[in-house]
Amino acid sequence: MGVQMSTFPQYPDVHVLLAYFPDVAKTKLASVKENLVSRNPEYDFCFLSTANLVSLQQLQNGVYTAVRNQKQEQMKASTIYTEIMLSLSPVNNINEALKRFGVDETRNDIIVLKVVQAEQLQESEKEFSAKLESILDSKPGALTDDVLYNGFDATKFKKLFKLLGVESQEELTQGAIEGALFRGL
Amino acid sequence: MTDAILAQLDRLVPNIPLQVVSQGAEALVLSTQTHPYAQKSGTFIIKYRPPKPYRHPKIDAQITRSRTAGEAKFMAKLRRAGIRAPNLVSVDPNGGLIWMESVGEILPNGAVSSLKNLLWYLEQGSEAAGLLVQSQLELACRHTGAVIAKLHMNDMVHGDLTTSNMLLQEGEAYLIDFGLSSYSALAEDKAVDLYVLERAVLSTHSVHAEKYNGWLLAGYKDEQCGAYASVGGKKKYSETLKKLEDVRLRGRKRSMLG
Repeated sequence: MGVQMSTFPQYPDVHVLLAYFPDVAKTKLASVKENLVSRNPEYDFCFLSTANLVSLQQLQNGVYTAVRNQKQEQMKASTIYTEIMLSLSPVNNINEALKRFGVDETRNDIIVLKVVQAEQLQESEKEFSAKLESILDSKPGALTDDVLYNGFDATKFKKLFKLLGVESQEELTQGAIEGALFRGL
Repeated sequence: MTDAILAQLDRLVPNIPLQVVSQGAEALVLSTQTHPYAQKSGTFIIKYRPPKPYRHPKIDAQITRSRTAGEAKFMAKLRRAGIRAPNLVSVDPNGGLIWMESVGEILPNGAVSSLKNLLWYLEQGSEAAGLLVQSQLELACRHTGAVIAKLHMNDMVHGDLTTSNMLLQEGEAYLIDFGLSSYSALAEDKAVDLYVLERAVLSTHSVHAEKYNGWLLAGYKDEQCGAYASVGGKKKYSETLKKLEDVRLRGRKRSMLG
């Protein structure tokens, strides 16, 4: 299982490539973070921690909101990748969003996204997996709802989204989506 | 008019087939089979508040944004309080869009299962079927009354309770349309809410209005004095009902102004 790809019915010209690396060395993640901070153009991807993600739907909602904001030219962040993290966050603070949803070198898995235009899809797809495997020195796995639900940090998540006492994946997802949608409203 | 609005909407939500469900003064309600981001099947509802050309554009944008956000937040609050209402899918406050999951069913006569349509549908068959339909009618009204009771116990006021703003799905009542909703702990506001419903029933089901209103209030009472008895439901119920008497005498408006 390698790269997963998705589109949104509203914007068929935008494709989202997704790869999930379940087992990455912590040193590699730390170096990714360093490179992102120094704005290395080779690291033009969205690296997401799974700590505060409970389901695919929550992730999709964030990506959708970010892509929509980009299309409507209403982005708050400077890049689509930061905008995705901001769209996942219930807190209206970009730094906070990067901390909660960006690379977390204390964990050993990572989600990587790339937003590409339809016409560049083919070359991007090849480049995407090759580059990531060399950067992270790891093999991708499948990202499913179960993987996220079993791997997320329940205590942090519930505190972030103010969902104490909620247990089921469905309700946590809905709560997190609502939290993210009402950011800053 | 609708065509012009649909053209604007097509710029906000391109490539998605939409059917107009209804149009009000403030918003347009449409339905679609497409989920904006997840691979989910089902029917989804879009509520769109178009820009109003008679308002200053800046003020218009502010009003649209705050009303859209307010309504969406109200729906989220309902879900957290366990009150049956449509689930939220996505919100675009600047565009004035709310996506939600659809509730309700299609009745055998092709209409949507709102309380209004259900009562009309059942009334047609009531002469022949008799008692069975009577109990169905009673149950639908009582369930609706109970949902309103729950809403009021959470200090929320719907603001536009009419029989077409309640949908029945699998025997349970759902509330929709929170464009005029607000938060209030005052017995006065809750009484006005009930009064508006009473008048709405009177105008859409005038022949049996007394019976229906009785059942609605009975459902309301049972919920507040039953499930909520331990958290002061009885007291709130009697306060609201006492206010309702006043409101009936004077009408919806407290002052003669406005």
